[in-house]
Amino acid sequence: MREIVPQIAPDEVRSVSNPTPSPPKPSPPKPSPEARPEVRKGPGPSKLSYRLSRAWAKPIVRNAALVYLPLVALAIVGWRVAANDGWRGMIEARFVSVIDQIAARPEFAVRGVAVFGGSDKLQAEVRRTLDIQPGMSSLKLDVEELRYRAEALGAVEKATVQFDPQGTLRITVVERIAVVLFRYTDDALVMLDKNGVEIGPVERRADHPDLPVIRGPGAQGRVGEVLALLAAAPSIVPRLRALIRVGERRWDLVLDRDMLIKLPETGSVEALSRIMALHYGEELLDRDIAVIDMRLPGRPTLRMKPMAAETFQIRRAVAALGGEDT
Amino acid sequence: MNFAQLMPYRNMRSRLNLAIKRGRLAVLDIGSSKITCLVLKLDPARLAEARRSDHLGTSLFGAIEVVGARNVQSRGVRRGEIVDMDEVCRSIRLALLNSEKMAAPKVGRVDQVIVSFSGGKPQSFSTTAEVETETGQVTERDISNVLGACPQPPIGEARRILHAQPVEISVDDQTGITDPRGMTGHKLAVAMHVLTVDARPLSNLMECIRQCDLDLAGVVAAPYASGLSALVEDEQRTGAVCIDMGGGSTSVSVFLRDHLICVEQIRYGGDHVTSDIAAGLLMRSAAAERMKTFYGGVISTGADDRDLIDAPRIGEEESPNRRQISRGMLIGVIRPRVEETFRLVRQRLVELGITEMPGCSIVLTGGASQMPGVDEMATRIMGRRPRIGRPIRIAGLPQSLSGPDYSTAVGLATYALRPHDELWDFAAPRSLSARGRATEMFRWLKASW
Repeated sequence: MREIVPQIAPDEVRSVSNPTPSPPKPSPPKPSPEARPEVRKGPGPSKLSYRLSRAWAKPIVRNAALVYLPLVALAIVGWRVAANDGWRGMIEARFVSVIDQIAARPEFAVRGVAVFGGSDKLQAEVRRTLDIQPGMSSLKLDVEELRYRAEALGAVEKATVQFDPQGTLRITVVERIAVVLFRYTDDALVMLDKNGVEIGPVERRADHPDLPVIRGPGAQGRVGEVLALLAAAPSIVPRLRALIRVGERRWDLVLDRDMLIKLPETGSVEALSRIMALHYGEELLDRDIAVIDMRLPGRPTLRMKPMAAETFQIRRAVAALGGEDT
Repeated sequence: MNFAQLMPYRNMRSRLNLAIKRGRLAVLDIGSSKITCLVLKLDPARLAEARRSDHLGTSLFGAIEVVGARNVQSRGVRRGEIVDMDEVCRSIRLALLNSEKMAAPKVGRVDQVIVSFSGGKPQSFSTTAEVETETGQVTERDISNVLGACPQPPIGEARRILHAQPVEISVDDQTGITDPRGMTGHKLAVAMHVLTVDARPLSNLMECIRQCDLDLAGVVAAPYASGLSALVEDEQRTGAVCIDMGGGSTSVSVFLRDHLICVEQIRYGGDHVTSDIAAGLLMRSAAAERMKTFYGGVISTGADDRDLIDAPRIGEEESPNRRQISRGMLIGVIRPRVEETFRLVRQRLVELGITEMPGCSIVLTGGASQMPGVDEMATRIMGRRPRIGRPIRIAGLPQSLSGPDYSTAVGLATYALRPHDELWDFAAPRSLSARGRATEMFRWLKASW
């Protein structure tokens, strides 16, 4: 059934006519099994590497090896370090020293402090309060915190703090202007600005003779009314000793020569204007009057001093004599 | 038929369904000369849709994509049977790891694998049975009964069933029924094609797969798989012979009416041609293989006697004055073996009576079918002009793996998508146990009132 494969001798004519099969050709010498050191294996991964790479192909294994195990290890190490005071202190000290070394570099130093705005006194006070030495590291300065500290000063209404590229700390302040003095019940004297914000203590009244004094509970919040009253009666300002808030409702004006003006709760400016009109016409404030009571709008009331009538007579007589009043 | 022997195949089917649900599956074609691994990405929704809308499953495109492919030299396999388990496992690991690496961006690791089995002396049996239907209408229970009534063919000692497919179902002498469920009729007859192989090489193959930590989702006879991909639908329907000319053996599968009806194997293949060249021309087998691949042919012409090709003897591969022979001489060595193979194929086909079947086309596929002139020789010997069958195109298949030598691997992929009904896809006929009796009584009550 099977056909004989012709044995082709090289460079010869085919010998298909030979019916007897030629003796089998000597096969190439095979190395004996002992001669070979080991059986040569074909290419391919070993069983272990195959299993490992197939396990690695599983998402759960890969996640566990890449994410969860490192996280757990990190957590354990972190917990051990945090639980050990010595290690933690060492790490903290090292951390702080590195931070300090970086901060101490001359590139981060403050070259100078420049304060703009406000009076010289205020500028000096701002410098003293912030207490920034040239050469300090700008990394350790918190600009926002400096601004809060500057604005905590009573005389500073608004402050901006910024570093310019040359390393200079530029502080711009807007100063509060004192308009009245406020006397506490314990006789302490402070300055207030037009919004009633306290600027700072005053040692003596004589330091600010141009500012009116107010007192009484609730007077701080009414600086605007005080200014309105003073604007309505500029001529009594030199005689004004104090403005007193009574019962948190209305104002009393204390003038020199023990004169007291009681203003109403509402319409106080109009009432004062009326007094000033009387003064221009009748020289009301020059007379010997103890109290001018304007609290009832339809009925201004005067209380005279005990000897007022006599004094008036004497003064008129003297005036008639052309003499000088003592 | 005894259903108990088919339990392993039922498990394989459930693993295949699991793989389809997961959307990834590998197929391994373990041949005598090469091992091909394809990693498939499956779209379960589209697959189910295609199966539901189209019973014959012609519109499966898009449901499957080849995302990894690797072809390695096969070691430790002779004539489709494993002779060195360690080497085979090594080759399988190499092929699988490389194709998984290629597929890694698209699918994860694959666990289920379908393998081909090309050895084991396949033998086809046919068995038929006929039963009366219980209610005058064919139910699944009737189908189980008729399948159970099929007599077990004499498969012999140490043989195992590899495929058992109902190929012909008839109800009351009406033939050609694809799905008899619900049909009216009193007689249900079925003809089954049973393919058996040697048990020992088959279990060796299963053991190899087990050693590679893979789940076996199916074992398919290699000629069946190559027929599935090399024959077009119409050829499978009208009848066709697929001749798979592999390295270790040449196998013949016969398809008719969409079913495999016969498998034959002839134990000559391309490797025998190579060894003929090596022995006849005193060459190293690697050099002989190379010469066969580049210059081989089976029909010589006048020009072939003038073409001189290098044919170094053993030991003079590097020498400058190595031997040269004419191409005609090479063809003279190759031709007798191919001719003999085709004669044997023709003899088998004559025995089966297929040569008288009209309209039966012959399709050549497999690595050895790429040799020039093979179709010409097949025409001369078998009297019918064959066609060189390339595997059907599936998405993502590399160009280098779409030649006729890869039709088995592609056929495994198509088998995974659209497996023919096997015996183990049907329920076993229920014996009347205590529970069965109760069910029977309930059925009788329901039928009576």
